[in-house]
Amino acid sequence: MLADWNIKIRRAAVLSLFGSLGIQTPATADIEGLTVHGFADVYYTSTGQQNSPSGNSGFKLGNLDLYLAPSLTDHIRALMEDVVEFDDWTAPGTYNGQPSIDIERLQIGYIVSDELTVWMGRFHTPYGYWNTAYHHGAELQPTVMRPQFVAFEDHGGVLPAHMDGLWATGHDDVGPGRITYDAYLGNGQRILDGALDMQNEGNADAHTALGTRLGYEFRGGALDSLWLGVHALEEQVDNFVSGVITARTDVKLFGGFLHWTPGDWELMGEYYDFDNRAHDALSPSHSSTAWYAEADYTFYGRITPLARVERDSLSQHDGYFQYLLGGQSYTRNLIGVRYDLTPQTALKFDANHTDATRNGGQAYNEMHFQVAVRF
Amino acid sequence: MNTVNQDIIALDTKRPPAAFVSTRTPRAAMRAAMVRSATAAGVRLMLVLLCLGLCSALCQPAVYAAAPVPADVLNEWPYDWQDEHGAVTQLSQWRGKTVLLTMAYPTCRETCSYALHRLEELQQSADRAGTPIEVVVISYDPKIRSGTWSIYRRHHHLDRTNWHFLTGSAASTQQFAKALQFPYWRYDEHLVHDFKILLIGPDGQIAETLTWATRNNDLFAAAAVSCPSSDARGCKL
Repeated sequence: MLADWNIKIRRAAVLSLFGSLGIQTPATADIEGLTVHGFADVYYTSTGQQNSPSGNSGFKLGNLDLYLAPSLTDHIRALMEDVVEFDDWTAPGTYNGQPSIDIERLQIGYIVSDELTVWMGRFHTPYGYWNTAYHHGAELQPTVMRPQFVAFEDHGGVLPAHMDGLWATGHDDVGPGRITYDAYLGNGQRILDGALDMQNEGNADAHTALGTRLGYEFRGGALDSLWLGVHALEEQVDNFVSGVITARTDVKLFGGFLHWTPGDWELMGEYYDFDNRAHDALSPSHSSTAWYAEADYTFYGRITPLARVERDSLSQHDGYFQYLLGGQSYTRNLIGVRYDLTPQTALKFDANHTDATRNGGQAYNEMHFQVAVRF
Repeated sequence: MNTVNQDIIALDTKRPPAAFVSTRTPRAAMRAAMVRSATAAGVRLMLVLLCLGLCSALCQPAVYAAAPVPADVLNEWPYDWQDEHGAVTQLSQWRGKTVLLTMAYPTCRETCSYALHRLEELQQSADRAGTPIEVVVISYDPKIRSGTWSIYRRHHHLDRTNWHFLTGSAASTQQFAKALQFPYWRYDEHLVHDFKILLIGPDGQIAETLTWATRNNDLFAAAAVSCPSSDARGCKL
C-alpha cells in the first residue's frame, strides 16, 4: 500500500510539474507564453563491433528531450534542456539497462545587445560547428549519430561538450559579413569511469577551463553563408580511479571549422590539434589530431543523401586519451540518407565502416536506422 | 503490550472502538497506523503539489488566445515590410490580386525548401490555369540582412518578378505569424516551424489553406478547367 502511495505521489508530482510547465500544448501553441517543446528518437543498430561500449545490435531508445527557453524579459533569457536516455557508453559488460536523466543545459543569460550576451550555467561548449549547431534534439541533425569524437561525453566523445561556467557570445557586422565570437571559462573537467565529467556540483579540483572561438560569416556574394573560424581550449584534466588521481594532464587544443550552405548543398568540417602534456612531469607533449568533413545535398526539401569522413589520431601515451573510453584512434567512412517524412518526423539511415585497429581496436561495419520526431 | 497499543493509537486522531483495537497485534496496529499516517501525508503532499502546479500554471505569463484571423489579410494589416532590396512595402499593394503566401527563412533547408518547391508547382499550375498570382514569402527571421533574400532567390533560381520576399520587424513578424497561425519556436539558432501555404483571394480573404495533410492539393486545377486560355488575364480565382 505504501508502495502504491509512493507511485501515486510520484505521478502527482510529475503531473503537477508538467501541468505547471506545459499548460500550452504545441497543437495550440502560440508564440507567447511558456511552452514545452522537445524531441524524441528511437533507432535500430546493427554493429559488427564485439563488446561495443555503445551496446549491442538491436532496437534502442535514443533521447527523450524536453526543451524550455522562456524569455523572462527583453534582456533576460533562460534555456533548459532535460534528457532521459538509455544509451550511455559503458565499459564492456557493465551495461545496466537503466535510464539516465541529465540536465544537459541549464543556462540563464543577459542579452546586452546582438554584440554581447552573457550566459551562466551549463551550456554546450562553443567549439567547432556541430556542438553549438545541433544539440540533443536528434530530429534536427542530418545523421543518426554525431561524429564520434564530437559525441557527447557519455557517448564516447573526447571533447568537453558541456561546460559549467560563464560564456560571452555575440557578433558584429564587419565588411560584407559579420564577426562571431565566443569566450568562456568554467569548471575544469575530470575523467570519471572513462568519461569526461564537467563537475556540476562545483569545481573540486580548482582547475579552470578557458576557451574561445572566433569566426567570420560571409553575407552576400559568392561565399554567402560561409562561416569560417578557429577555436582554442586549455584546461587541466585529472583522471580518477576509485577516488584516486592516476594522471594529471594539461590539455591544449587548437583548430578550425567551416560550415557552408550554398543553395541546397551543406558542407561542414572541423579540425582539432591537441598538444597535451603530463602536468607534473617534464615529459614531452603528445600531439594528437582529429577531424571530420561532411557534405550533403537536399532534394525537394525532403531527401538528403550525405557522406562523412572522420579521422582521428590520438596518442595513447597521453593521460587524457589513454583513460577515455572513446580515446582510441580510428577512421570512419559514412554514407547515409535523411528523409523528412513530415516537417516533424525524420527517418534517417546511415552505414559506416570504422577501423580502430591502429590502437589495437577492431575494424567493423555498422548501420543505424532512426526515427526522430520533434513536438 | 497493551501500553504499546495505546501509545500507537493515541497518535491517531480517529480512534477506532476499543474492542476493535484489542483484537490487533502490536505489529498489525503499527502497520495500520503507518499506512494511515502515510495516507494522510500523501494526500497532503498531493494537495500541495497540485496547488503548486496549478499556482505556477496560473502564475505564468498570460497566454493569449490566437487573435482572430483578419477578414481581409491584405488590407487590414497595417505593418510595413521590407522587400529584398530594402524598400518599404505593405501587403495592401497586392489588393485585388490572388496571392499565395507562406513564411520561411533563408537558411532553412527542409520545411521551407519544400514549401518553396510547392509554391513553384502551384505557380506552374496557376500558369496552366491562366490565373495570374502573386507569391509572397515573409521571413520568420526578422534579423536577416537586406539582400539576403536576393541571394537566396539567385541560388534557388526563383527569379520571377511576381515573387516577393519580405522581412519585417521582430514585433510585426511575431504578430503576423500569430494572427495567421504560423506557429514557430526557436531551438537555439534553429527556427522550428511547420508547413503552411495560404491562398488569398482578390477580396483579401483566405480562400484555402494548405497544411501538411493537404499539401498536394492543386489550388488552381478547377480554374484550369473553367478558364479559357484566351481569357487568362480576366480569369480570377
